[in-house]
Amino acid sequence: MKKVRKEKFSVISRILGYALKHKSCFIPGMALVIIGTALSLLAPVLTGMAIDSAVEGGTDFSVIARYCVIIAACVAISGISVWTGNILLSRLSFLTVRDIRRELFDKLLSLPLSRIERHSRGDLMTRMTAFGENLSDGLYQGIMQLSAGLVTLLMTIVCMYVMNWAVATLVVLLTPVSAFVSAAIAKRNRVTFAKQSVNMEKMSGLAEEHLSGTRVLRSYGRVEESEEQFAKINRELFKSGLSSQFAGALVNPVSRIVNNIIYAVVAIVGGVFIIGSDPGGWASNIGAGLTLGGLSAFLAYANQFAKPFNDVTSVTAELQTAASAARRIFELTDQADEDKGGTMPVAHPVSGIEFRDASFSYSDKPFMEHITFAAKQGQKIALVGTTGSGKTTIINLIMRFYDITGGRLIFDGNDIENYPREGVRRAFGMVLQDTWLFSGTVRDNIAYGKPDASPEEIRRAADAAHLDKFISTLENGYDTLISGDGEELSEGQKQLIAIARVFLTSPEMLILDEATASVDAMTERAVQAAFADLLGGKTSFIVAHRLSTIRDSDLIVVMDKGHIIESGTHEQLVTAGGFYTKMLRAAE
Amino acid sequence: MLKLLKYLKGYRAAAIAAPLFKIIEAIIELIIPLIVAYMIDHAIADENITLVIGLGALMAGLSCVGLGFSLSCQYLASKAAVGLGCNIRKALYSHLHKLNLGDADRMGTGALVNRLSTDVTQAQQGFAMFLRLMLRAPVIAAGGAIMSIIVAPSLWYIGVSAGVAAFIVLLVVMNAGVSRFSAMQKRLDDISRFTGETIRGERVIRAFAGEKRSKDKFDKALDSHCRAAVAASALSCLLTPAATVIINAAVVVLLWLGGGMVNDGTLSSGDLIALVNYLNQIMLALITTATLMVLISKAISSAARINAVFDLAEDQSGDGAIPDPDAPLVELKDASYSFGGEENAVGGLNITLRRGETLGVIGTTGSGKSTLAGLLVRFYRATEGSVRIAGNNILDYTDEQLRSLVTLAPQKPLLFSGTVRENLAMSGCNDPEKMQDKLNIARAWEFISDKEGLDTPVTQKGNNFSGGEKQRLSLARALLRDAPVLVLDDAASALDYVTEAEVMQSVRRTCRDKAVINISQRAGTIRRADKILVLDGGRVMGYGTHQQLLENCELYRMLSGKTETAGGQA
Repeated sequence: MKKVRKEKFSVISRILGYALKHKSCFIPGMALVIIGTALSLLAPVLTGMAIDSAVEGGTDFSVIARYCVIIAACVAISGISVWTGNILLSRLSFLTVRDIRRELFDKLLSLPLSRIERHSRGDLMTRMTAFGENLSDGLYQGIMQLSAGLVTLLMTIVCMYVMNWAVATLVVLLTPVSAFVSAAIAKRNRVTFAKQSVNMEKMSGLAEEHLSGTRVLRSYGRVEESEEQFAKINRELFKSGLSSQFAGALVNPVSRIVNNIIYAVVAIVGGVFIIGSDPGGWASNIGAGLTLGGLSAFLAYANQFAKPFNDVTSVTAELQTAASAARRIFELTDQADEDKGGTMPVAHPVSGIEFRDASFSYSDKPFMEHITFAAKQGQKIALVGTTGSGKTTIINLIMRFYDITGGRLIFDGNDIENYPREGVRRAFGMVLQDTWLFSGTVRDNIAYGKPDASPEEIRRAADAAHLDKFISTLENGYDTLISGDGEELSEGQKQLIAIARVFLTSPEMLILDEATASVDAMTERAVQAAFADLLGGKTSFIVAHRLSTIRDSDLIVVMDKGHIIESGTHEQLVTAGGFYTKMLRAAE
Repeated sequence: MLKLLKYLKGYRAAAIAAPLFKIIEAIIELIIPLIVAYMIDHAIADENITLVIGLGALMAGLSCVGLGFSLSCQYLASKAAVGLGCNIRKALYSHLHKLNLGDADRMGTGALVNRLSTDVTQAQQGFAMFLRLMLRAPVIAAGGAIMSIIVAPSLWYIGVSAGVAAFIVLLVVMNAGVSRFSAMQKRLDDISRFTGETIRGERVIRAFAGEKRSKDKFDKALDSHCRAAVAASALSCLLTPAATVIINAAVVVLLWLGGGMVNDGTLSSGDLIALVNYLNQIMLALITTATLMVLISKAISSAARINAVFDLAEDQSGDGAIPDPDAPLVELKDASYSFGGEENAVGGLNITLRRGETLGVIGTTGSGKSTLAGLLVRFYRATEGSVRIAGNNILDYTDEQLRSLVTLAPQKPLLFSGTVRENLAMSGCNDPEKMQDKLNIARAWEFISDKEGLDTPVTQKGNNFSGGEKQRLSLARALLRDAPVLVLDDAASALDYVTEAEVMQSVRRTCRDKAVINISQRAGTIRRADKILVLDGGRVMGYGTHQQLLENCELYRMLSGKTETAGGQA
């Protein structure tokens, strides 16, 4: 328990560390809010004093006028400083969250892939967006309410004691009751809210699954059943939603009733004190005389005094949410970056790549073992095998997305760890089955690997990838905007864009992981021809289902369950009559 | 938001009663300053302590009565809002399952789930706040103004002008605030989208050393979000100080004029204090509203997003028709489908298929193969020509009838969390023996038999299975349907050639009495079909047997790899 609290404290102090980087917002913001709040609290006392100067037949108008001017000045200054203070503090919280988000984003691109792939995409996105929002809300509310709340508290107490110590003591003793009540409600709320969010998650889970499966549900006539399932969760949501909504709605009226009763008590006690405040009365004798204006001020304070208590309790809840959100973010940003790799410069051309009894595992269970094969400069290496046999893992190791866990991987005659990761990656052009397009124009997407390419170069690359016809049907040609997930394009078209991207960079070596899996055979043939031009004398690694595309490879590596079961040229493998031959026959 | 109120069914009474109770509570609240004034002018002035205590007790008592009303309001408002949310969610969910699939695909499942979860919750929250607090503020403000007129008729303009001024400020700020908040929300969406895009592209970004560029782009998105957020909060921060300044300005005027009246004896001190109290109440009411601005603006934009989905058209079911056993099972006459663009996604389809016949469909990428599959199960409705199933236009069948005639095994296999058995039972067949039989045919039994067989658990969307395994399970489910027309839309595309060939062979054997439409990228898969349809760019390039097409269809020859390697037998 103590440890948890300590950890929470360290998270909050860390957030404050980020916030303090923006001192130009923090310090003046706090100062303005404090000054503004304090000034606004003078208004009730001054109003009370003005009321006292208004007496039937004996009003001193110059005194009233003076108070009026002072009140007006106080309120105007307070309004302006509270406003600017608030703006500065909200700016502070947004800037702080921006910094933290930036750090998180940088991490997304610098952590080892194995780390990132432990989290689902949804998980990472929640950390970036929803948790970021929680953090900025909590930070803003935290700083604002805590500073304004504490100032209100102190200032009110001081003002009240200056006016009348006895009534002030009464108010100070009574008001915390309201705080206790609202804290108790807030505690209960957390339970109901937790239940509500569990139900919410259930609902989203069902909806996500069943809406993405709507085709199946519709064609199997299961929509009604699914609606019933949904209705059941929906009923649960109604129950938990009602109790959490109502629980949240209790805070206001309950704290108001406590407040109103305090108000009534202050009115009674204040009234009694005024009666006893005649010259020589008992109240005057104990130094606690009270005027009408004083009562008016006390009533105003009694109305406002509960607010800081409530604010402070609600802030603790906000801060807790913010702290746990921050912890989830820091969890990622605290992890060590992928090392940059060695410093040996990558020579051109790379003389070859060789696996020597290499092994690799994603977890404790060994996945790939005894991988041995060599690719000499200029050779075409094909990786074939059933789904899940480890072909893509080989690619991941060559690109240093993952690191071998045993044996050696030789790059240009040295262990691959001696070279910088980026240098190794830049030596390759890579096209994956699962293509990645980003939101931007077709042109931007093709030119991703070479942002300064000329329009002519881009056009040539697109032609080579057989995109010219497709692009000419687009409304704005190369400048047509495509969305991030490229929903409007077919898988094949997406792959062709990714291929054009590689054509443009004309890399030293090439990796094609099912690069044309979604492209029809005819287009594939044409693109292959273009690849052949590009490949002339370049080392390449090709993963393919369609065996016809790799039969001219210098080496065909046949994999199964993380092992190499046979390798050789097409002719050698056909002669051997093993698994490769079986696959060939199936493809017929 | 107003448009969504029709879903208030069953909760209308609560939605009307809630603000009424709140208004009663507000009126009680407005009486308190009058009692204070009476206490000052009579009890305190006459030094009558019993009366002071009595009046104080009256105030406390009234507050308790007020509490009763406000608790009822809170409960009813919560009920109405949560009920509204649940009704919307239910209606939206069933709407989504009837939605035109083209629209649904365009929106994407993620967005649709968001409408159901976040957006409904926000609309619900905003509605609750509206019932609970938004309606209270104008009542208190107007009531406060009216009461101050009753107390001091000659000073009527102070309360009224303060109230009016504060309300104008409120409206103006709210109005501008809503648009600034939605601008901020858009920037936040950008951040979210860009994050998602980046996570998907990890490998490519690293391969092309694009980290720096991504970071720069993200920085820009962050900065513009930050600017929009500060702009929005500058407005929402304005309300409280503005209300305070306006009300206190009124207090100053009141003190000056009221002081004079007290001097003349036309106003009592108690009344002056009551007037100040009323102004303060108006102020507090306005400040409460200010804190609601964010919630309300979020609710409004969420409601707009929900309505946009409701406005999308639903697919209609037919009135029913009786299948003709003698007519061809599948008959397409000049059928075309267009997604709304100039070119047809697929056009000029003329196909006739009888019981026991197999149609193979092959084509280039984006040739309209999947659109053809969609036409056969009425996911898409032919925009020209007609699709006839067992002698009737496909549009005439009810959903149920059509389902008993045609079954589709899609390229993207869709499994649901539960067990393998539950997934298979969706077909309407619960017989474990038949299940095992079809699993064997689809070569799926081999990978679940060493787990827990039919009771092997399936996690969300079947993610505990590989793509090929999911396809095989989905195929087994389609086979269990036993409908006379079976459409395989690239249903084995994730399998390697060896497994695919085995699966297809056993499927052919079991479907001898059906009309099978087998759509594939792979020439080997469809070459044994009775008829083969060759598609390219939505147009029919060839239709005939394997031999015929080899002779007269250039594209088919290329697709089957018979041009360059004719002698080599690839």
